[in-house]
Amino acid sequence: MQPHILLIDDDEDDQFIFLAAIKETAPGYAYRISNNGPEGLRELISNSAKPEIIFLDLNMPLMNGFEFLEILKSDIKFSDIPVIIFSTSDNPADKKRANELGAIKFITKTADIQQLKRDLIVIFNSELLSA
Amino acid sequence: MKTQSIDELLLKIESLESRLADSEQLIDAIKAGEVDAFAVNENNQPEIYTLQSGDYAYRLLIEEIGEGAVNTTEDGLIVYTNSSFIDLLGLPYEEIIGKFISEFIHEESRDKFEQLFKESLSGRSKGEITLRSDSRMIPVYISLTSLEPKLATVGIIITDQSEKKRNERTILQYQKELELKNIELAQSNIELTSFTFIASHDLQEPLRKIQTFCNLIIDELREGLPTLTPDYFQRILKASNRMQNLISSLLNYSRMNSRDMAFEQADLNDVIDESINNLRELIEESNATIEHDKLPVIPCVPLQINQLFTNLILNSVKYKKHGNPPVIQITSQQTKSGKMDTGEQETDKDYWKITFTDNGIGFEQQYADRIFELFQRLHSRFDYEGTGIGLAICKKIVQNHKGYMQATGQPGIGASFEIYLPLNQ
Repeated sequence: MQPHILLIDDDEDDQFIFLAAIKETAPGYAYRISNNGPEGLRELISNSAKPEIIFLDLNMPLMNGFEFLEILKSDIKFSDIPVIIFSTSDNPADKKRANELGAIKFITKTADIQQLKRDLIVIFNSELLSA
Repeated sequence: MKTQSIDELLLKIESLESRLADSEQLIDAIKAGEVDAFAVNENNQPEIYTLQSGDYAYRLLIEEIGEGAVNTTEDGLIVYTNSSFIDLLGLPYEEIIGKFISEFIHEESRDKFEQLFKESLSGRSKGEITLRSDSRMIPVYISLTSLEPKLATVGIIITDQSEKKRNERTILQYQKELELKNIELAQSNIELTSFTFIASHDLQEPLRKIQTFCNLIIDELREGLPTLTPDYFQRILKASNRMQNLISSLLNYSRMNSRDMAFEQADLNDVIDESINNLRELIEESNATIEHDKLPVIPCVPLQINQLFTNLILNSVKYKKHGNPPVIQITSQQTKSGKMDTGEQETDKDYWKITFTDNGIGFEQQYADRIFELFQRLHSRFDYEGTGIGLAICKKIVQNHKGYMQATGQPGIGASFEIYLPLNQ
């Protein structure tokens, strides 16, 4: 079965940009998209196959990325899934908190899609992923 | 020389002895300090001599001192008053001397004075009480000393505290004002922080989109295959519209400051009618029904209240249930804040409670506070377009009017917004 990536982001444009970049940089992966934290949790619970990696936005309605991360890391079934923050924020305090909550990397959304592609290439070629 | 009979001489001796006894008595009385003045018969004319002894300086001091000085019997009958006490009460001498001191004590201090007076009979006492003279209340500090055993009287020194009390009140008032200013300052600091957050997040977000899609267009054009370019332009337009909405909402929010509040008595029926009228097109378009009670006349800034009502109606129309025309009911009732389960308000203040209830999609009660925060949204932009400023403006307006508001929601049933506006500003 094809490994898959889960993106949790409420912003339609960012979903579009992310998918455009990931199709090029990680062609072997399938992807799923959740529009917010609660939807992401439902996706995890209802799907027998765990995602290889989760890309997580921070500023979202209903449940923000930190809240989602906390819930995820407290659940033994999902706590081992690597999480990468994908956020507009470049606030060091946000980066520190994400790190403390167990996120492995922090990508700040920029206007430069080439930069995003470079970031993704690094991630998918690194040993961050078990696969 | 005329010879005198023995009888005459005896008589003279007797008279001299009597005068000697009188003089001795007078000298004893003067020694004891019991004599202020005495009269001597000279050529059948009484001549008055006042005593200006070593005590004179002290007597003058008591008479002229700025503090009131009073002597009373142990029953409280006034037997001496100096001019300062007369001035303090503003009554003629005859209306003070020979009266009981208790007549000049205000009811609220009577028990305390009795206690102090009782204590003084066995030594000294002092404390703050209130005098009364006609309808005037005079705050004073009194010091009572029993003059026993030398004199069976109580000496009372009375210091006028009116000015001190006035100063204390002024200081208290300044303190209160200072506290209010501090609260306002803290509030404006919080807002400043929010603005920083907004500038770094929400305003940058559409800008970044515009830049991203411009980059993508450039890439496509360079490759000569501009297939997605029209879509990118659409996205750029949407992002710039969003940016414009954000900026104008933010400007609107920043205009709603608590300075320059021109309060006037306004009929809220007129205000709500104006809000409804401004939104007529939208109301007709969404087939919305708005019903309202007779609303009160309150002191407010009508323009701000108009904005408040407009935002609440807009909110209800926006979050209507799909396929269900919005119904908004507006009720009003007078209430006291004490009846409400909120910890921070004064308990005895009178408010008008104005409630907006709708039949829209509602919300989970756990988000009741979050919806009033700047840029907090419960829905993604796919579902409901919005800036997350509308309800924050509502809250700000209500705070500007020294009121408060709260929301209750039930998902799928509707939302209700309660606004509490003070009867008096």
